[in-house]
Amino acid sequence: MPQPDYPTVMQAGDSGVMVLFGDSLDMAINNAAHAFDAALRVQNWTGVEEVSPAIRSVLVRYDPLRIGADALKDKIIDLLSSRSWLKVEPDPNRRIWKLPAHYGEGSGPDIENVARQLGKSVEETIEEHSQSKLTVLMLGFAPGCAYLGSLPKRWDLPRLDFVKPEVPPGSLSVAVRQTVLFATPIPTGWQTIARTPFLSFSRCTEPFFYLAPGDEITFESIDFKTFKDLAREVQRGKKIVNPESPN
Amino acid sequence: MKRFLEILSVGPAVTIQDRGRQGYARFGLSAGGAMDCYALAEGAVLVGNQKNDAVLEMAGYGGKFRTLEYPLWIALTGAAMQSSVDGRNVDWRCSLLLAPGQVLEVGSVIEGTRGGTYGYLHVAGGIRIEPEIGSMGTHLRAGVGGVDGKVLKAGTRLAIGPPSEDSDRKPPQKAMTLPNPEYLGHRNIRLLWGPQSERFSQRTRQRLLDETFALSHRRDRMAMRLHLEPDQPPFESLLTGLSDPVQDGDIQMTGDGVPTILVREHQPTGGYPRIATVITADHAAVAQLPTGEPFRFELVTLDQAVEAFRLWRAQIQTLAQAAQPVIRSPEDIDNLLDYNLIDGVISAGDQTL
Repeated sequence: MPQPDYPTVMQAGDSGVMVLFGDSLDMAINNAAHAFDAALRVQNWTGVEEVSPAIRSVLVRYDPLRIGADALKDKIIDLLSSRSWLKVEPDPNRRIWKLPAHYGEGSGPDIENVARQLGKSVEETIEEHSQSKLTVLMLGFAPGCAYLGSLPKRWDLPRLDFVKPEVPPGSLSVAVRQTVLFATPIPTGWQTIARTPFLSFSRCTEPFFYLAPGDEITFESIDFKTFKDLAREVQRGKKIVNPESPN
Repeated sequence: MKRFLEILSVGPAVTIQDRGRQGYARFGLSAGGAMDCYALAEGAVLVGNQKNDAVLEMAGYGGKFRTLEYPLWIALTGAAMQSSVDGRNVDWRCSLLLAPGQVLEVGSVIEGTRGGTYGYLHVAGGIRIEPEIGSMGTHLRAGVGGVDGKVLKAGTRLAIGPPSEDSDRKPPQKAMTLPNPEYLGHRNIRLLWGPQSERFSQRTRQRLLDETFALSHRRDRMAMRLHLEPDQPPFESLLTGLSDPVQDGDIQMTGDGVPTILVREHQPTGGYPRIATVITADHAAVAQLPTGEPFRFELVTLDQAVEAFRLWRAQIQTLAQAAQPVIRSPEDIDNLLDYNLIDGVISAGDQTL
């Protein structure tokens, strides 16, 4: 099958158009999807109902009785050709989060296994993970569930060959150079190395979701007592961390 | 005094639903909402509710319900189920006044060529619970909305909003009925190829159009897995790719080669390859397919899909004109008239909850 030229625009069902920026996990491709998503959302085109980005693509959902597929695709193609999306700098106003995380012990039962696979000590593993500057590649799978990337190449770890029935909210699990941060109890086939007391989703308190695609994240290793104290504050509805901006 | 619908007993999959919450897919939450939006709209017409008022969605089986103190106009829509009030059969798609103390019993789906899966119980005034993230609808997978984000339990009392002549909710003056809709008998589910269809071989795609399928028991508000007969081998399964946004109606091919139709509570993103997408006009029809009922997929063009959607929406928007007064047999009429309808429905002391 011939490779399409990216970006490419494709019909998806009778009320969706998919814009794809590439076919690999690549920060430039991911950034292009986020930048295009942001540009699309401020257009406020009649008939467009929802725009949602993922790792390398953006879905535009529309009402086909208010805007025709061809008219919408023309507008999308015009917007696509207005910039080199694969070369845009990350949003200068993106939010930067420093999230506390308790590695190993009860919080990250798979850390020793991960360290062994990396050929490192547990301490080195924690250090490399917490010092990696990660981006929210997308939120998906479940509310507030954030896929963060990319970790150094050696973290291209396989998924487990079984699924753990449930890991607690805040768990950080790794595979395929990514870290997934759960906001709800979730089954996973990824290896869990840490847990943050920060919850990216609250069903009762606005704005409900704290992380957004494109946010930047690093982790700060904390001990279990600090984890418990912060988790208690989160339970009381207190905000334990605020994002900064690069400027 | 407050209006309540009391749940005396309830089936295993009864939830509060409305039209769901749009706009949160980017944060990992799909819209959710009623599996059958046509049935949602029918009920709103029959009991004089607003289009997005919350209702009970009953998968396969309903339960026993009773009103306390106030008489309540109710209507049942969607898949017809065995139902009665104090032992007297109740017609589907008709408004009906449930008097205090009377017990509405909604049993199993009635099988047949117009059979379905999801029935809906509407109450004039609408179910009133605290909305979560902009909707009262229960998103079971996310644990959001409804009562604690879960299926309803026996013993729950649901507050009902006051219908009032001067609000947007006008209770019916008399019992109304709607004709049986055509979509409940649909056994041809129309689809479009999508962005990933060409990853599948021509032979695999043709097979989806040529064979007869049925939904398996592994179906819920998130996804519906097809049942393959022993003479139907698994489909070609492709490697999982990068996650893209997915939508209602997408047919994804799981790792074991079984086509699975994604519905309201689908994951907002997914890496399983998707072979095709069910057209919007057939979302209610596919959701209502009885488990095990044979059906086929039919390929249409984008223009045909949009035209079908235009007709579908027009039908929903003109439901009010399609409603007719109920003509009851004499033995039912005296039952209806032993209640003073107007006094019962409007009360000066009635407060919004």
